[in-house]
Amino acid sequence: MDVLLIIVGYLFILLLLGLGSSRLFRGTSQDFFVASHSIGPFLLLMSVFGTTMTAFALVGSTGKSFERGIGTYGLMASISGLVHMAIFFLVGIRLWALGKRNGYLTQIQFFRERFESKGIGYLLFPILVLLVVPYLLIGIIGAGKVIEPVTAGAFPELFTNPTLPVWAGGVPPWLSGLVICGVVLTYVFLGGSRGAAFANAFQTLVFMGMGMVAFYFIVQSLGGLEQAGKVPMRINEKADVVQDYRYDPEAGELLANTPPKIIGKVTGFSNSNLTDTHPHLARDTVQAEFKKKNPKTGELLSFEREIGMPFITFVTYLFIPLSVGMFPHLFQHWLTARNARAFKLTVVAHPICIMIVWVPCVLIGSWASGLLPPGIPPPAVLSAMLDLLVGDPMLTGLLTAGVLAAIMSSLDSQFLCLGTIFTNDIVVFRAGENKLSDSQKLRVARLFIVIIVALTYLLAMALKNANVFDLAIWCFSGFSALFPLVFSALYWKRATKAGAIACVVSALLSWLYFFHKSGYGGEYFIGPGIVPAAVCFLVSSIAMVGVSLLTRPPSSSSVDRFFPKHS
Amino acid sequence: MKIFWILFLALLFLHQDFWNWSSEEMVWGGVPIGLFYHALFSLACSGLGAWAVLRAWPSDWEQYAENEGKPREQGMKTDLQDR
Repeated sequence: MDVLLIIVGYLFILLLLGLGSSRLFRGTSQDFFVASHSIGPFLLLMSVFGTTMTAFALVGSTGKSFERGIGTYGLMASISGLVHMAIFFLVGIRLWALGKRNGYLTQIQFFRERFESKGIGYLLFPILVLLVVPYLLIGIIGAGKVIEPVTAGAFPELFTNPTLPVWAGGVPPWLSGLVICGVVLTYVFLGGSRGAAFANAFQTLVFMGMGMVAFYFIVQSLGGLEQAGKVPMRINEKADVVQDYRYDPEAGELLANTPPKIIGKVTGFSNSNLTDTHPHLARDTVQAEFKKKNPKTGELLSFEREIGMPFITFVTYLFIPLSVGMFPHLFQHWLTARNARAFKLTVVAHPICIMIVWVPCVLIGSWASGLLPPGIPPPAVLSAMLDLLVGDPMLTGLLTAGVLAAIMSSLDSQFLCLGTIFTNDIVVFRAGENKLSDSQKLRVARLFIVIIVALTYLLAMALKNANVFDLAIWCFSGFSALFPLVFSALYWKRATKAGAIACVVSALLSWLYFFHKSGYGGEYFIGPGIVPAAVCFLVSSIAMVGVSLLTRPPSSSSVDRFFPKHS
Repeated sequence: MKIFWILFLALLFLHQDFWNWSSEEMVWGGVPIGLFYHALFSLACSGLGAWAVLRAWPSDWEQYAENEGKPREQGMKTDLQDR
């Protein structure tokens, strides 16, 4: 119950923040969509960082490290620090300048004018929506998966149909999803972009802080950093996977397992010298077979897991963070900047913010491999570690609030962005700019946001058992495949309308092909471990370059407009 | 800008730290070298960002957005809508 009270208290603070920011709302559509270009460096950093980090930042990173080990950080976090920083610097500032000068509110407005094509807007709109909606689903489904376990037992007579028997009486996903959507909708509805920026800044500080607090208490319980480093699962001389330690919550200390507890068996490896190695502390691939209990039937089931990662996967993963260059909600955040100088802090501090959130979570995930049963669902690893090692409902509640903060700081921007692109790129564009008054534009945007929230909620409930983190990678892959479009638009004068359309179509088709091959959202690699985003990126780049060179160059007036003499 | 690209590519190479791939060596007693290296790598990315904003700042684009004439007002017809 304590956990639930903290969560409710946190949501209440957010609502108050939404009400507060609505007092600063200037009542114009430009203020609603891009905060009248008034956001300063700190708010920009926090809102951009909060938007790019989803529930994956805390829950997913810990779970992935529990599965694959410390290589998770290099695979997903440090490469994102490099690529995101470069994109903010190379793409973000130029888009902000062009957006401010030309009055753009959306990406599609920029692409329509850059490529002198109405059609590209109609082509891009459904694709952007198609890719943003799974991103929204990740948040709503993720929130349900986080809240139900931590509130288990709170309402045993009210919620009698839990997802799993052990979560009886927990707040069900339909209710947590409804409340989360309602809170986000309220502060976006009231404050628009500025409301979202304030809420994002607050939430980003909360989830960064909570990650560090969880880390501190877990390290203390394990007896310090040095002792914690000995905990991850080990492979013995018989190729058994063993846990050398267990944690006794009553004694509050780490105890040695004598003899070590066998939890699995190695079935394949890339490095034959395995004896006494801890596969989670390096990156050589090791296949191991484990057993887990079916929580509904109690039956023991075998499953295989690959620990470590193939080098080719590690290398090609760099294509996934390119997605930020095409996130429509990030484009909108860039446009909220007061001036170009506001970007400076974001360019410098973003990689450090990633480090602050991810390093503790990746360490906790690798330690968890030596303490938790191998069959525990990866998204549950962080709460399970906190529950086992700290066992304080107050801390569990605060960490849950941190996870919700990470989720909602992405949801708000995405809801707002969908309302913005529908209003400006479809309704206003078709009706004519001066046919709608400012208040009518605001009404259309708010109505569309409500419709999108409702549809997304219903879809999330229908897909509540989907693996949300695999879905996230697919969503990012789609945006990465579109990256050649924005990069060529900004840096290649010869890029043409036909090339842009070929780029978008080939990105979509290649993405759909691999998405279908994956069984619609599962983990999927090509050949020895190449991520599909790398191939989609290559296909769309070739289409952009090849078709542009075969078609007539863009008009000189267009080139002059988007490539001012200085550039 | 050339220096930015050279440093970016150098960092991209340094990211593939195959030299630490199999190592379980610990730094500060409890941080695996593979993770410690990448945490330092994140600081290096931040360093490249700092270098970029100090030495390669696109002030021409900044001026283009803020000083070169009056920005087009939101609410103006676009060229495409005229067509």
